Amino acid sequence: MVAVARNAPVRLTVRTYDVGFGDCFLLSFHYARRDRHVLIDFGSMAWPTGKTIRRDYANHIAAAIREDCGGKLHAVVATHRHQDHVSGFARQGGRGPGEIIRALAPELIIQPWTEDPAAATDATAPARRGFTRTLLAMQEVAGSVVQAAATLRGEQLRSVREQLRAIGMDNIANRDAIANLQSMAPNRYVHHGSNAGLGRLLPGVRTTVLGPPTVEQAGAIRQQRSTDPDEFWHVAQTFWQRLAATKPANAGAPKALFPGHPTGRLPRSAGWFRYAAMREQADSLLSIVRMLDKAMNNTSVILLFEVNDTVLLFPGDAQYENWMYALSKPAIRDRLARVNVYKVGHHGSLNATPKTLWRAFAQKGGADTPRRLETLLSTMAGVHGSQERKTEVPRRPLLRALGEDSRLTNTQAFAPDELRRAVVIEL
Amino acid sequence: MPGKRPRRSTFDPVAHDVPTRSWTILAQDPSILGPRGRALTTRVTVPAERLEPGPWGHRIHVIDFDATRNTYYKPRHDDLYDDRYEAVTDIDRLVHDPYFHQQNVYAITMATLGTFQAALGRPVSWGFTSPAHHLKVAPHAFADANAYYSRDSESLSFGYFSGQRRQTVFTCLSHDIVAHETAHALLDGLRSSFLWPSHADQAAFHEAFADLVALFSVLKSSEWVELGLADITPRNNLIRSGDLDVDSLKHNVLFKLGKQFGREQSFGRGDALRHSIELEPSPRWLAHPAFQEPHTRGEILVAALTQAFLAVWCKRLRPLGTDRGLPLNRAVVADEAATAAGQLLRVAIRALDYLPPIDLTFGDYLSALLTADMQLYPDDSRYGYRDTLRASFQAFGIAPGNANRQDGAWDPPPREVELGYQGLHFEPLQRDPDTLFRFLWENRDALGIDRDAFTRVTSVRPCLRVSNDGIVLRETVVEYVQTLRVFAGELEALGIRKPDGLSGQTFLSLYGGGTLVFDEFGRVKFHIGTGVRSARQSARLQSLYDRGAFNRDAGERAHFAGLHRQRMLGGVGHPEEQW
Repeated sequence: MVAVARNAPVRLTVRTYDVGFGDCFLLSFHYARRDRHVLIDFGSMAWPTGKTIRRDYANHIAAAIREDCGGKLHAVVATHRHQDHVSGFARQGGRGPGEIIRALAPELIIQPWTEDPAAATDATAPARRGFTRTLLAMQEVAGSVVQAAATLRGEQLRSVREQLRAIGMDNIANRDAIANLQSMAPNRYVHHGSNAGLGRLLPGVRTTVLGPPTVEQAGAIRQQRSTDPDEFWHVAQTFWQRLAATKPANAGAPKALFPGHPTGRLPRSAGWFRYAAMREQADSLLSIVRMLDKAMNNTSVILLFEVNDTVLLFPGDAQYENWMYALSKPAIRDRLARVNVYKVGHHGSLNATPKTLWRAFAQKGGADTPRRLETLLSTMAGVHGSQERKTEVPRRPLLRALGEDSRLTNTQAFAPDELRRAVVIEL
Repeated sequence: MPGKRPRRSTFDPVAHDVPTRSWTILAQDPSILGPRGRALTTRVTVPAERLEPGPWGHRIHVIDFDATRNTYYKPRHDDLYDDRYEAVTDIDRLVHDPYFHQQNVYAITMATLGTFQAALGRPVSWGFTSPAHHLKVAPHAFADANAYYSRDSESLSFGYFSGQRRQTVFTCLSHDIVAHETAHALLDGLRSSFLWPSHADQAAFHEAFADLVALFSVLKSSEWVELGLADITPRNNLIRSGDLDVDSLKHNVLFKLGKQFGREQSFGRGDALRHSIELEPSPRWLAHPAFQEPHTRGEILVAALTQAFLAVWCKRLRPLGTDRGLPLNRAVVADEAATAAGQLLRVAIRALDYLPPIDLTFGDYLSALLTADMQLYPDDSRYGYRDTLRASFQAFGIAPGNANRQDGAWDPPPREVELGYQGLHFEPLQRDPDTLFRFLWENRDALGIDRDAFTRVTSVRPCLRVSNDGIVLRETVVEYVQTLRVFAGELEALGIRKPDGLSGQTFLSLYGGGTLVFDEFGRVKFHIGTGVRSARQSARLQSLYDRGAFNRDAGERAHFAGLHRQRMLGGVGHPEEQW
């Protein structure tokens, strides 16, 4: 039995908003005399279909958040820069949902250390600097991939074109949203073990940052060829920067590669090669964009909230490499076993809920389990992966396990007029 | 419109009726210039075949289609048989002339194919899914810092990108990159199973072998080596003998070349030479965590052979004067490097015929090298190539795959093994897979072939090899592959250890097989192979598991586009706990 902290909240409401393929959660801690609200992510890369509200859906979600927090947010967590986690923070020239969130006057913004503008120029930590610059270059590449995808013609390339566009769009820089987050309130850029800065805002709540690890922390457990991480990141940075430099010039207004050299139609004897070459180009772009998608997911902030004997875990889209560091710590594994509210990682993909983690959750079980595990899944089928390759999102075996061993809130099951659903937990 | 053959009026049948012609290529790449800033070119030998515009010959079809710009750059339609670039020394002219780019890729690809065919003593086919004769080569395939072989589109694609000075860098102008990609295509044609998931050594082999072919192809160009020797040639083109030992050549010549090698063109991949020189010989690398990844692991093999090359080069210089402290002419020193590189390249290729068809290790490759060399050059007393190879591999902890013989070569079948040839005939044994399958069927127990596994003969290749010493060797090389599909839960019953963490429900393939080398009388000379239940399977499965090969989204086969990119970025595979 955990001792009850004085000044601790007495009740907690966790709201899951239906943003289609994206994440948006509001944690409302109810104290004896006041409420404190923390918004975790607000974004979508595919808004839900079939809803009663059809126009300005994002603004309606923002208005719902405003209503739910009584016009005041205390903190905002942007777990990582992907569109499906931050697009709702875009101001869009004063008409976007980000304008509404900004007006809720949060006092603290939490983002991963990789978003720290100072990290890209931090002379004292060249490896971090290299990593951050690499991420920036990757986002440039994502933008050019979206452009290049549009040039792929033909029905045979439709599937790969759509994948390129979807993953590419998710990885573009989202500058409007990020600029809003950076100027909305003081930002705190966190990594594993750092102080989330929520102590003053959420008395009686212990918040622990489990991820992302820093380059140094990740390097401690990574099998990396180069014994010199600075050199390693320099190579990676150069690679992405050059790729970024190559693409836009060609994808935008192509300049002749050989001015004056005769060009023309492929001769009939080689005509079939055109499709093969286009396919090669598309597959190559897809492999590039998947690499950068994974890298960005692994910058996700993983937060663990502990209030009395209630433990909430919000891992964003963290995948294996991000989890690996936290799970390598026995003391953290013990604390994770007590989780009773779990935001399902990465919209229910096949590798973002490590089975080690799932097996360790002590509160999971059938409907009669006391204080049964609550799971929150924000997702939309048909956007990522394929059933044939058993990579669909959400992954069906995971959905089955969530349904059998936890009380699952799944945005796919929301009614057409249902913008959010709340789970109330007595603390 | 087909190109014109040389006019009969200028055609001298005695002088010209030879099966080859020489074409100009860049010795390495446009960043490496000769004296007074001139383009550093060399000439390679290609078949004197009939050509169509492309160039488009009987094995290579250069199709200059740029997928990024959706543009087809037309090839030359006139004077198809002429080398217009022999006298060109202006590097800018070569870099800005797509006709030269088309010639460069055609000539390097055909020359590499020619080297393989000469080394193996037979024609070499491509490894496409449906048999086809033409490898398609796209010199300006896309705007990307990559180049790769694709079995699916039967092609080599060479990208272009912005360099450090914002100039366009063409990967098709790098000799090593073109040779590297051609080697992938040729190796896939010779041993398609080497792309199957297997032990870390096999995964590393494709890249390492392509690197070796690229390195030795470039080192065969004495022009480039001469350039590397400039710093130790103070005057009169003479080099002091004290500067011609292994240590000096390594640090003053190869290291310098390594720094230039692919400085920009190969976009990080040119580090192969630099890494192979920098990697200090040590047996600990093989088990080191940093060398479990295919790309880095391959560097151990490249290093072992590069350092063997250095030792052979020095040995070849001794009788010319270094053993007596005499200075040597720079051109002679470079020629000896080119000769040593050419010889090592040929034995490296010929060794492929003495490798198991699947699940090879670096030790197997060493035994294959030693066997291949011994068959054609029984007397190795002059320069001691085989001792050098053994010592160099040993320094990296690589012991021969066959520990039974002191010389490390493969054993012939034991005398007590009685192989039956009843009902078989010599002639079809040299060409017919069904006849070979009957040979396996009749001798299943004697050859130790698993009864439960699916078995098929994948190739039957008669060869005629001739050594520089005039030795003629006729052999027929036959491969068979075995596959056994089981659930991971059944592994213990087969005597194979299941990797901890791998679900018993995982359905997986165990591969095995063998290479049979028949002599010119149709008798088995070597049987080199691994069984589907061999002790190696445990290590193979563990290695695959550790590299994430059983993850749902892992590809069945390696795709070289991704492989090369991973190599640049040092990507690491790992097992994931998937749903």
